[in-house]
Amino acid sequence: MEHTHSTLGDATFRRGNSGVRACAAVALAAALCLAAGCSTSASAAAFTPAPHATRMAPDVSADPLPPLSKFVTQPDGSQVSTVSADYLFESNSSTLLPAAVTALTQILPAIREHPGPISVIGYSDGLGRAEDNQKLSLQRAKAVEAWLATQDIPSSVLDVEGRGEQGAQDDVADASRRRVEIVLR
Amino acid sequence: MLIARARARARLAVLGAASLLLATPLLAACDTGGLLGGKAKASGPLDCAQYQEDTPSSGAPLLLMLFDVSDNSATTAQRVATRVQPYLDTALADGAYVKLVASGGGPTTYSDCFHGDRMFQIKRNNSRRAEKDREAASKALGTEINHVVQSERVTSTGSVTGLLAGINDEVDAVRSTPGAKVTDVTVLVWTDLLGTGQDSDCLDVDGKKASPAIAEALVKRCFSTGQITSVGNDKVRFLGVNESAADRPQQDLARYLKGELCRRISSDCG
Repeated sequence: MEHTHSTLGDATFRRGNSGVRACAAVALAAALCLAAGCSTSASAAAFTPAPHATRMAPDVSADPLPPLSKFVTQPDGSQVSTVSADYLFESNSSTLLPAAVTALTQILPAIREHPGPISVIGYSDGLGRAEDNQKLSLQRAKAVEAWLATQDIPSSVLDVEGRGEQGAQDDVADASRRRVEIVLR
Repeated sequence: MLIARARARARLAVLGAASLLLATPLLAACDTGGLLGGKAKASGPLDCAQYQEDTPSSGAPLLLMLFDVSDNSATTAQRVATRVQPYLDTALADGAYVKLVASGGGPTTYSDCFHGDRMFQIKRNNSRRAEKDREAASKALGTEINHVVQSERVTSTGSVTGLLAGINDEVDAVRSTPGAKVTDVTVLVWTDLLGTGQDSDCLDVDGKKASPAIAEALVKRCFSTGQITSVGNDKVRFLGVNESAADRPQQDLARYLKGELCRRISSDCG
């Protein structure tokens, strides 16, 4: 009885076993099929870079003209040193660049020795809104004045002015108009 | 017999569950786009369709990325990816068409992922889910950017002139895509602005002096000869200027050129 039961049980189990195996095989095949059918990061792992290469660096020479070196005497007797604002500031910015400080340092001795008032005047070109240019030229002049103040130049002898687009052609980008003048009066 | 059948059913259930457990992570780990009939890219390493949505009727902004690749090293590629990442993150959060054009000095190449024909965005009902999915998408797209740079074949000469010249055409191409509605345009330009090559190229700076006047003359020539044209009010951002090894004169000239280009190419440039 027990044997029969057992036999039947075995028979049932075997049938069940083969069914389960078939089911497992189907499930495994399905899983592998799904995995094969989908794109995974494996494709990203297959990424192959191009051979490493760099562009030839251009030969660029330094500007032999120092940005701020000497003062020029004007007809009224005052002395002026003009520097391109592009040397001192990033485009549309009134924050002095580190290189600007190096340039300004060159004219410090002349400023220290000057007994009279000193004007810092900012100009812009004619591109953009006149109000914006006026504001930027003043801010740039103030930035130079602020740096001079840190070099112990008394603020009582310094005055700043923003002349904006004065003398510039409207709507024309012109590097020669973007400048800061330091005038020893 | 009943007990045996019960046992068999139990084993069957266990195996079934095991199969399910095996299949689930496989499916979870994979991109189901290809399985479920999504748009799978044959040649791209990443199916970007999973990060895209239909454009709302109000339209979406366009992020046009132009890569002037002068160095395809892994370091530079990572630098590029890092610099554009904030823009991609904004696109994924707010929605934007994204198009990428690159050149290493030879012909321009287009990204399999960033076609500009569909809007990138991750939208989820659950904000935490959205945040997690956006992080994952951001990482994947950053890797894609990295791979684009490293895949670019770099020639010994070249400049960004051609890419800048093509901005209006690339934007027009996206605008004319059926169903696309572009609102604002932001152009990201990765370049060191240290072009070399033919004398006819207005941004060939080889043999030039690092002065504002020279930069101004070079850029004036770009526009007067029509090699570069203004893009009007489209926002332009130059990335990569003076972010790699360059000597002082090269750095100065690149900075002046950026300023001059910005003054002429767009009313919103930086």
